[in-house]
Amino acid sequence: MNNLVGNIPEQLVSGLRSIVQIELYENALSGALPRAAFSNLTNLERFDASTNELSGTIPDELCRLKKLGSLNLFANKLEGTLPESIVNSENLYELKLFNNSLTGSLPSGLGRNSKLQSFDVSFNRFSGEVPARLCGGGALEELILIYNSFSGTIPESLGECKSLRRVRLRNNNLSGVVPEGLWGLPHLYLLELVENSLSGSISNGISGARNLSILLISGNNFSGSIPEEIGELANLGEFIASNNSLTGRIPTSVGGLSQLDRLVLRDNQLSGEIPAGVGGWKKLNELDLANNRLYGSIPKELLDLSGLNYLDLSSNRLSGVIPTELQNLKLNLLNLSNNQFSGEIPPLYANENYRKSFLGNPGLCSSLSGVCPSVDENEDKSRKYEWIFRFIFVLAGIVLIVGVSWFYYKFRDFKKMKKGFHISKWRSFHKLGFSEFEVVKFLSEDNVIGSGASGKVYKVALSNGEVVAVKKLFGAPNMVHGSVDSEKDGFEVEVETLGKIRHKNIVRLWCCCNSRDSKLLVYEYMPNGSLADLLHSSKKGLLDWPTRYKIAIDAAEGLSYLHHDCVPPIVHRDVKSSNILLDDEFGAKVADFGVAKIVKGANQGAESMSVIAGSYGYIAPGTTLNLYYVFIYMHI
Amino acid sequence: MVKFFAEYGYTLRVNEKSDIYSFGVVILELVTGKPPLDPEYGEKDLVKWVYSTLDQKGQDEVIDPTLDTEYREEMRQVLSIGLFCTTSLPITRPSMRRVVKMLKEVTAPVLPKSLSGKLSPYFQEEASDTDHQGSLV
Repeated sequence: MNNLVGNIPEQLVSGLRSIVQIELYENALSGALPRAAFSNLTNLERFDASTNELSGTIPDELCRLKKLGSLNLFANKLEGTLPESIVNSENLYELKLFNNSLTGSLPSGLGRNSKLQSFDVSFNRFSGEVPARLCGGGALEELILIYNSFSGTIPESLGECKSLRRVRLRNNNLSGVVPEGLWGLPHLYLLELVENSLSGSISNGISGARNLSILLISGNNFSGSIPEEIGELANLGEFIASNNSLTGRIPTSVGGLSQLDRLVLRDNQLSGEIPAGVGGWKKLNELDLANNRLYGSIPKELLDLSGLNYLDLSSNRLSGVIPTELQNLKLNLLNLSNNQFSGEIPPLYANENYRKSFLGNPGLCSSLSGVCPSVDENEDKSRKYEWIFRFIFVLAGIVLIVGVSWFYYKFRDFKKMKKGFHISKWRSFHKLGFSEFEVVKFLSEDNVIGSGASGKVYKVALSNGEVVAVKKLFGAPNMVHGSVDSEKDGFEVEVETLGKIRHKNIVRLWCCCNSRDSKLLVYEYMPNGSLADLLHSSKKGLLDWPTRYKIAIDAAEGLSYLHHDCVPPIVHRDVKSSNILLDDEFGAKVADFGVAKIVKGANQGAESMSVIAGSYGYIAPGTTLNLYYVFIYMHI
Repeated sequence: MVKFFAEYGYTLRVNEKSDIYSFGVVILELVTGKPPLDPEYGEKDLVKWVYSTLDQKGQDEVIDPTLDTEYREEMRQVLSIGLFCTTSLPITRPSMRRVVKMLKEVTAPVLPKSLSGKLSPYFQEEASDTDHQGSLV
């Protein structure tokens, strides 16, 4: 982030004989790395030239350095292969080369001679087999090879690599059976095998993976049944195994996974019933069992899962009546189509918006056109009911006309004011049961609960009893073109970023509305306000130590999710106590992504770092010094 | 000025590590009960106030006096995590995942006595945190 441009001069590097660490990351350096000069840097332990525009190949001379421990060249335009000589480096513990255009095989002896801890060559064009000795030093924690063309099997030795925490192998051409041991590694937190051609079954040794939180194996050829032992993974938050050939029942033990957030098993050949006892899924957000061979009815416990947002049970053989309690769930997506449900559609869903949710259930009946089968009953009966239908249609027509007129009359002035108002296409949250008009109606100064740099926040109690927080971004109708653009960016950034995130410690964004002169973000309402408001006011007494301690952990988990579990990772950039909000039980959630930027790859890297965000008192000293420097410079 | 240039190479990176610094400030707020900026600190901010008060008067002057003393030991540990997050060199700050882990370990009563003695601004042994680059993928 120094905006250095040009080549790295050979002479500069060769003169630094006793240097231990070189950091050149986040500049606009281009050209090839120096070659011969590196041979002199016999003391070099850490080299970081990541996020530049360096091209050419990785110098053999650099890889030969005996003391080299950490090599970061990610996010450049490097080509060619990884030099074989790196195998001999006895001190190498970190090698990050992701986001380049590197090709060829990895040296087969890689990891043999050193205690490699962190290895990431993602987003390159590497091919060939995964080196068998990567964990030779027994210290490998991160193995990240995603989006390459690695082929062959996953080395058996990785199944014995007890130190592994993150294994990400998605989008390669790996085949064969996954080593038995890899399923049950004791420290493993993330296992991602998505989009390969792996086969075999999920080992029952998976019970050993006590720390496993994210298990992603979709898009492979896995077969056999899901082992009962999966229910022993107390930390499992995401289990995504769609698009495989899994058979058998969904084990009942799965119902006890209390941390489960997403369960996606669609496009398999699972049979049996949806297990009862799923009431333990307290945190479940997404349940997708579509396109299997499940039968039986929807278990009652499922209807008590208040956090459930996405429910897709389509294309199975489920039957029975759709319980009315389904209406209590706040679903963003509901798909029960192509099953054998019968009886009435719950009243709230019996409208055109949800037509597709119920299609293809021959036994379901409602007034919705297309859902009901066109039953060829005898003519007599049809004629008998014809006049009733005709009467109903006329009546409905009158009601509609009266309603529309009333609506027009009531909202004439309002409409004039808010002309051009429409929900943005970003995501439909119609299940919330309120319109943008209703939200706008309550945006009066009396309802303001907060005000920040980017806009005001209102508390809105909706007619359906729900309370939401609405953030109205300051409009800028008369601004020059450029400024309007940057305002739009702020909005888009927040919506794009937050809309995709679902985590217990991150404030939920319900929907957004967009109009010519205002932009609204509708969030879940946090009754206890911000940490700053409580901690630095007379209400401080409410926060005893156990509460404060829990707030710290909650907020840390939210941020950890943003940094480590989002792809691409998200830097919040405005962490402060007024952006940590508290729910009714003082659970903390991280909010306000107004200045969050997604950490992007090579090309956008420099651009995304060009604005310093944050609030005074929270900015790390380096950044503040930089502002100070600018300040002095301007006054000279 | 010397310090300024010494840090220059490290510090202009608005990345995860700046979030961690800010989060460290939030931790210090929770432990001290004080706002990040206050006329009381004079030229300083909360972080500098905590460091200098620790140096001159010790931990008990830093911890929020309104809190129940029953949890003193836990508070000290959380305080040290806050200090670890706010070290001036980004490279020595822990990753967020590590912060979660350290916070959760606070409730575990077993901790070497040496840590509860004189508090260093940050744990030396933690400085070897290998996650310092924060994997981008």
